[in-house]
Amino acid sequence: MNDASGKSGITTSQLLSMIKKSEQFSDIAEVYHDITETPVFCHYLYDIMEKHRFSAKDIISSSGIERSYFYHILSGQKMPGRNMILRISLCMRATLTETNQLLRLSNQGVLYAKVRRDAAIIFAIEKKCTMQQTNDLLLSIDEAPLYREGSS
Amino acid sequence: MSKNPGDVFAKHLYPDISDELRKCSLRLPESLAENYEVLSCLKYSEQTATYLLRQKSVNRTVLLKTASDPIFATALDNERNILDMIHRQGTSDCAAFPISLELYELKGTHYFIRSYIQGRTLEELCESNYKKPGLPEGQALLYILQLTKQLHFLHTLDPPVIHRDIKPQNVVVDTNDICHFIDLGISRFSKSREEKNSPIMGTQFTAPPEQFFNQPADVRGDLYSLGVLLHYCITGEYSISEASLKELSPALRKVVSTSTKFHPNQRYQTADELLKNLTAVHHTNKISVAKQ
Repeated sequence: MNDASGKSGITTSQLLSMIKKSEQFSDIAEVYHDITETPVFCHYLYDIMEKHRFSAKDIISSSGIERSYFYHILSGQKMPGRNMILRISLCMRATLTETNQLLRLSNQGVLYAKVRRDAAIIFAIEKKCTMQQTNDLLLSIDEAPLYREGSS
Repeated sequence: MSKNPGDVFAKHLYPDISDELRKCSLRLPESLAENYEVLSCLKYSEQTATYLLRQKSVNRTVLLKTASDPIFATALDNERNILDMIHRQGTSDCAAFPISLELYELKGTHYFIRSYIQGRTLEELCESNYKKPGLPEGQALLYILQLTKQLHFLHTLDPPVIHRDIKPQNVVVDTNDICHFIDLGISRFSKSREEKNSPIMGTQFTAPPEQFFNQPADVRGDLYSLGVLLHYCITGEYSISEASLKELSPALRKVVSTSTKFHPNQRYQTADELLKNLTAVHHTNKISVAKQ
């Protein structure tokens, strides 16, 4: 798992192996001076949007999420729930890894293949289904959908 | 995708074993299997699970909760006792609460069967909104008014029952738009003395601050949770801030702020007091809508 951490560009797995090898925390504390930030949900979301070339306007129109609410998410003012994140992720055609990272950063459970509903969503992500197709899939297999149409 | 994704998924990934998966391989003890048939598994963990059963004699759906962990088993016993006590009152207020049907124990696993309330939890209702989480204020207010009345009923029982776990996951709205508290597993009779708080505490989002300082639970803690719930139903957020309060009407803002004051002494002291204030907000908002 790569997250760009400041100018050193050190990866999480490299950090973990350093922690395991060192005898005292002070040996590696230095490294943390270089890491400019721990990943924050809204920043990571913005990075993924840039990577997949989706603007806020694109996501707003394809997901149906209310404009002001989406901008609150981007600014960090509001933290969306699991279903909302999955909707955004599907609209951006984010990968499974990126989707799980988004879920992790918002303190939600990651997609877990043993759970039937999650398995269906993973299936939809892998098959590059749209948000609507994914929602229809969930309804057709009797699982709770990501959203219900007609609700305000 | 040319085919219906649902067909592809069901047929190729979860084919005929999907039935088994749904049932999560639960084998009912013989005496229960005589009268009930497993329909599906709703939730599963090592310590506790929830299933839907069909009661054969009357062909209706009921809910089964199993617990193999002693703490969860105690919660099931507790829930049964409280539900029984509620229904012994024989008043119309009891109707909103599930009815306990059976409690059975076999080899350390407890089985608790109760009536099933079909509907959606407040959490699911709020989170599955198309545009953004949260319900219109009027609708949220009507739901919370119902819940406040039910809380008043619980708090005025003898001995009073404190809910202790009010959260959007624990309220089901049925097909007639009636709200029901569905999980009274950690509710307590307020006079009971074993008050080293059990390890299962209320959820941190809606739990009153005093619960974290090991203070004994009282009615005002429930009222705090109800305030957080009301705010959540409208804004989709648990944490209350100046910004989030702006999404509420001015009249409601004041009620939510009072219910959720840090010090219990500064909150509404009884469910009845909260009910009066909420009803006043409801009337105020109706009048201002009518004026427009």
